[in-house]
Amino acid sequence: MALLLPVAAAHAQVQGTNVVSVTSTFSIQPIYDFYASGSGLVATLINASSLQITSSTPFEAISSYRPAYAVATAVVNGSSEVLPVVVNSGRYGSFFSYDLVLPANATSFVLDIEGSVGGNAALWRYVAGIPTVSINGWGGPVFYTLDMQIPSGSSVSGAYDNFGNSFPTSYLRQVATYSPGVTYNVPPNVSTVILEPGLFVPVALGFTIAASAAIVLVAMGLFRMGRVILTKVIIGIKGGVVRVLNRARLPTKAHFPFSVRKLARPKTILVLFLLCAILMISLGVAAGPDPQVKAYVIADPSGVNAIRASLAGAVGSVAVVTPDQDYVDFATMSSVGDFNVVVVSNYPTLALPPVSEFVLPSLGNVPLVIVDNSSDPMFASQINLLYPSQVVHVQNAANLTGAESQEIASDLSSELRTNLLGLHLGETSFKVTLTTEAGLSFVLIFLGWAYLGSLISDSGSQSELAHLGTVIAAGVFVFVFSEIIYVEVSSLLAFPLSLHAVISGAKDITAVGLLGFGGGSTPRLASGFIGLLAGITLAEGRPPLHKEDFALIIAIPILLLANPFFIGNFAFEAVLLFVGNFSIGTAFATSLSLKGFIYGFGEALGGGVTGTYLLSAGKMLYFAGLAPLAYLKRMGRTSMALTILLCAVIVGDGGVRVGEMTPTKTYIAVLPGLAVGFAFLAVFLGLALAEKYIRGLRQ
Amino acid sequence: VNLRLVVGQLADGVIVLYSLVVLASIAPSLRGVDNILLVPYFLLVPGYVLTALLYKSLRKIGRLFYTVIWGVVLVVSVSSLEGISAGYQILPPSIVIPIFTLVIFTYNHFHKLP
Repeated sequence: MALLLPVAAAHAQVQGTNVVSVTSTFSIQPIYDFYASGSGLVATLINASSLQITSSTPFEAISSYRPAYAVATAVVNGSSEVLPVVVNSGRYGSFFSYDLVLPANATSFVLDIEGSVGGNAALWRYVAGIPTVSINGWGGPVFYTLDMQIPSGSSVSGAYDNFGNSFPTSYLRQVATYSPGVTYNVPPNVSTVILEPGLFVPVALGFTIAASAAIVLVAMGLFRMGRVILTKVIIGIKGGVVRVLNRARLPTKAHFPFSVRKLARPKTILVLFLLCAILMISLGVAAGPDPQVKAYVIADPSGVNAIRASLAGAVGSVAVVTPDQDYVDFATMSSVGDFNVVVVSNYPTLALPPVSEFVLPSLGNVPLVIVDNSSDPMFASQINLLYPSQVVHVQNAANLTGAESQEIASDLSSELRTNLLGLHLGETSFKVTLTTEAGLSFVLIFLGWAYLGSLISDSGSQSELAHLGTVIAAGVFVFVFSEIIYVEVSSLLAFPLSLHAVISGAKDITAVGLLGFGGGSTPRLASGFIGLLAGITLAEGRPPLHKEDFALIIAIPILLLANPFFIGNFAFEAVLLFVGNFSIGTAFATSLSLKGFIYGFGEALGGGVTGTYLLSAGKMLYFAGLAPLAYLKRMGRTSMALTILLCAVIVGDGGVRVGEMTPTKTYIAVLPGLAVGFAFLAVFLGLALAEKYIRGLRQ
Repeated sequence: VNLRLVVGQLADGVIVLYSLVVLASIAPSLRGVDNILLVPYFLLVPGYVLTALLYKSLRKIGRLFYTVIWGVVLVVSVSSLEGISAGYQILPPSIVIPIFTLVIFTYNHFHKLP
């Protein structure tokens, strides 16, 4: 805490009866690295120096950051006393609430909340989310001040609001200096800042100029001697590797019973893909369903453990999922039989509407709904009206009476699914099965996409039109079949393999989450991307990229990212959007436009007309990647390499949505996605024409 | 008389005339007229000229396939672009698509690929 200087003193304290001032100091120690995680310290002082309250008054503060400690003191009848503070997480999404009761006749009070906020270093810049603290339901005026301390040698290169709009950096006013750093006043609408080292601009500028000069020299053919030397070095390394292999007497090609080329045939990979699917289903049949009773508990986070214990007393071991972990995917989770029971108790009324919106329509998927007397009356009456045969009323879900426990146990026992083979797996064994299935789910994606890649390369004697038809048919099959397997396995296990909107940190509600991947989006993207490239490479017998094209495709993004001006910021924002989940700046606005363009196709072709056939831009992206991939043979070397890489990203990213397990979204995404693919194809064919023209000029 | 040449020239004439009719359809005085005659235009003509630009030699089934596909993609692209920004809505599809069609047609006409 040494860096947290009392900068609040620099601001005039607001005086007045029942006025609350909230002063936060956020101290960042940025890390400048290729990729790393960092953190900053936050100290918030909530202060009311002139109180007039005649009776005990509840007070609630909410912070966006996890507290290390929270201490409150009040002056009552002239003497200071410490007030108990109840800290809760989960009541307001990922926020933390601090509840205390101000005693009657308190004349002042102070609440001190200290904690830390995570940040990310990427490409030698540092991205930090700005912490927030707010006061809930206080009758008097509240004034907020937030100061940010950054060490000298760093500067602010970007500031953004909640919607990703950027502000000029001058929007953050420098209010003080401290040794060794600077303090800025941060306006309340700023939610993210980007810091960069002081040397970033001159180094980036120098690098950009040097790299541009090198490209010009290469284009003029002045580096021939360099190429000759490089070729000699590569030949030398290859020779060395061969000598080492020969000495080690490693098995040669002749020792293997099959060749890689034979393995890479589309039919072989298709068989492996189907085999993986059958293996997943067989394992699901043998091991499922989940031996534990699982409850979805809609209650105040402080009471969840008591409800779990009370239920366990009635039905044995119980696993609990709460809205804090995920409620957007309730329909998917419940549709694969994930929950045996839903418990509705004293969930905060203010936080209930979004949860109710997602949960209420799908409660029919759950055999038993327990509603207690502390639940929201409106929500409880809606449940009664819609699902009268499933509802069991209890006095207090956290303290079930004997008769209530008996009724619940009896109702549940008649609804519990049992293993088809009569096998009984313990919780640990079932978790091992789940993690195996999670691993296989990535293998399935890898093989499916590899099959697609090998098929793309293997046009044989087909006409262009027939090849297009084959690629589209295979692409649709691979996606739909993979999604069917995900749904099937999740239903057999009564445990979702993956989900779409798992809240970060909720690691144990999906099978892939048990591997530490949350919803599993990024590894699934990687499986699809690598699978497609592997399929093409194996079928072609060589990588789809030539050295020169590879250098060009790598050099251009590096040059863009190194640019210290607008284009560099745009490229950096795009990287953050894609890999860091930061939706900021012009890149975010551009991505929204692209998304709007894709949705436009969906809406024009009958999607999203009703809630049944909702549109998914991600799923459309997958199908959009198919058409350009079917036309690779029409393209020149460089445009083909670029098309393969971009389409592998598009198809891989779209393939992430297999894990959503929403087949109706898939049906409605196929045709609009293919149409978007033709729009993309026009761009790629334009690039191919440009390449043909440029190469024609050079000859 | 080269029948294929005559049919080709006739088709060219139909494309130009049909495009002009579609352009004229935005006239306020024609607002109440049933637009059923314009449906085949959006379905076939833009896709036909794009197919002629992109594909040198195709069999009839391929030509028909790409004609319909590129027609749909072009029409939907224009409508989708208009959906994402108010700036694009100044020009309705009934203007953008026939003008695009005529531009491509003119290019094809003067740059007949061997």
